[in-house]
Amino acid sequence: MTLKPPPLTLALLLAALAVPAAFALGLLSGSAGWGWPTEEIFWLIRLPRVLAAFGTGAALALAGALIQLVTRNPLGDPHVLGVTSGASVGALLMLMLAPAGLLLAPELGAVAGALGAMTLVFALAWRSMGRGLAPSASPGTVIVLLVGVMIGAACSAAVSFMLAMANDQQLRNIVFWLLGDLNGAALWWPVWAATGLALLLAWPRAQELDWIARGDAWAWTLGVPVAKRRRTAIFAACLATGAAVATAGSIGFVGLVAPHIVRLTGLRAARVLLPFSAVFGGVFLVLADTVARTVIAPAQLPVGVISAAVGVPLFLMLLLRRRA
Amino acid sequence: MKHIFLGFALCATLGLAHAAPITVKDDAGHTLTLKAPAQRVISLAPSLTEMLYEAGGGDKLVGAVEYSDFPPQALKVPRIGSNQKLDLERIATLKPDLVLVWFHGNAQREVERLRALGIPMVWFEPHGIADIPGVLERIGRLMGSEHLASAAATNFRARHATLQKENAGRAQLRVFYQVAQKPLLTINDQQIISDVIRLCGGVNVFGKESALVPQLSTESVIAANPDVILTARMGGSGEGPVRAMDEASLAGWLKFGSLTAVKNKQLWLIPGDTISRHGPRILDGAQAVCSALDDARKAK
Repeated sequence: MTLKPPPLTLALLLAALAVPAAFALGLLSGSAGWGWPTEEIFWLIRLPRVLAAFGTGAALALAGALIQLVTRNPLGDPHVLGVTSGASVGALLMLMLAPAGLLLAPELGAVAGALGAMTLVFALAWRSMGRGLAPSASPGTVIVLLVGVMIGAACSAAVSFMLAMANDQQLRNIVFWLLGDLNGAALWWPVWAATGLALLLAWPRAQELDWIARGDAWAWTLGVPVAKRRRTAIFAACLATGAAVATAGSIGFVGLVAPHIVRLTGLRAARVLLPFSAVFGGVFLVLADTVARTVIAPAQLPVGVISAAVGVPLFLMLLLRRRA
Repeated sequence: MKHIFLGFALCATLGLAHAAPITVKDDAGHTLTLKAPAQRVISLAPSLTEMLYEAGGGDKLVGAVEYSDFPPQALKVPRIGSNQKLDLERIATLKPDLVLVWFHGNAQREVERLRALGIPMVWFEPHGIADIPGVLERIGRLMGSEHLASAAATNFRARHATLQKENAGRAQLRVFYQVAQKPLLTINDQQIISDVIRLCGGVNVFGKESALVPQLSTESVIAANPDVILTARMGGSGEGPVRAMDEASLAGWLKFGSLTAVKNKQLWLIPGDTISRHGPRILDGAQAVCSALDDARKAK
């Protein structure tokens, strides 16, 4: 559980280098060319996009780390709680029903949808969130995950229904929400604020999350209010995920893999895992997005293509090297 | 009695004249042979519905894909699903003797089912404006309305030539055609809209892209710095171009004051049904694009 100091200082040093490096790379490259862009491109396109990418990556990675901890499930990711699908439904409903010209309609819809799905998860699984102690009943964490997956399935069905009803123009917008895209992301700060708030909620009690991850009974004997901590952590994860989806649509992979990669480097304790996952997720998405928008410029690739192409080998390499 | 016989004989000869098999080569490279002009036609694209009416076969249309709304009488024809979700059962029940297929617009898998049912099909996909009269003529042959169709084709060619003459030698403009804002999509030179832009003396700034409908970053549009930005207005038809500085889909560009198109107020909405359909009305769309580009030349 305890961490030897060298990897932590090394990790801090690496993070201190990686963040500015990723920002520099993101800000100095684009389809307009390498190097310093015009002021307009810098302030109105690249800076907001890089900031949005970092915030989104950080939010998703933090949410993934939290969910993996409190559900004790290595496959936990921001999308398993149904928040992403809920946000998609909200955004799509606004796309199809809101009067034209309503500013930020799909974004607000995404926030509302994420909140709606989150409320549902809490309403349905409130009691299960603290019930890991009862030896006979199925563990609470499983119920929380299943409730999330079911809400996600219902929302996916709703999305499919809307896909069937949508006209051409709406269809393109829907694809944007389903695939995720950072182009044109202008409002970058809400996702930063949400991530900051989520970290603030979870981090002070990070050690207790570690104990919960080892088992509810274990945590309980150490005096951890298991139900309360788990609810707070899930709330924080939902908050971060909702903000990420509203900013950039549903971007997969980062939330699942970033925490694992951080763990594989030796940073396992929640109090370091949470902030480092956020930083790593942010850096990772900034770099992936930079590649996605420059490699076939002026056209661009979906960011998910790049993050999977880089992330899968990186993850496997770390995993197998550790095993060897 | 004699008259009746005479009439009968006349009908018989006319019938015989028509009974000569009709052979047409389509845009997929298939050769279709009909024993007689088609009597029950189904159209799988709004543009093909328009072509059928223009070629004089509209009264034989028994089923049409969604959005087949022009000419207005097409609205009364039963719907047979959308271009990617055909109602195969309904198509089969309508017993068509000819189905007009949009080569890359329809779902291949579904069209294959129709082929398995033994329904005669003909595939069209005009890549440029100049391909359209050829489609009209071929549909005319299949419908036995060659005269009407070739008149329509001649008309179309003449109007196309006039537009070409009018716009020849005008100063070239750099044009960005926005298909969608989110995600940001455009078209390359393989698409018929690019041909319209070329006709009006414009250059599609992303014409050389390899994808037919490339997805772009905002930055690449700023870097390309187009003189004119065009986009389609959903469902618009008859009217000309509309300068649209406050239109939601274009408003995002206004903050980029260095863009020539923004400086000169050259953001335009083109009536969507005329520019987006590969049909006879594409010249109406072309006229709208040309007059937008004329305005842009004056502003330069």
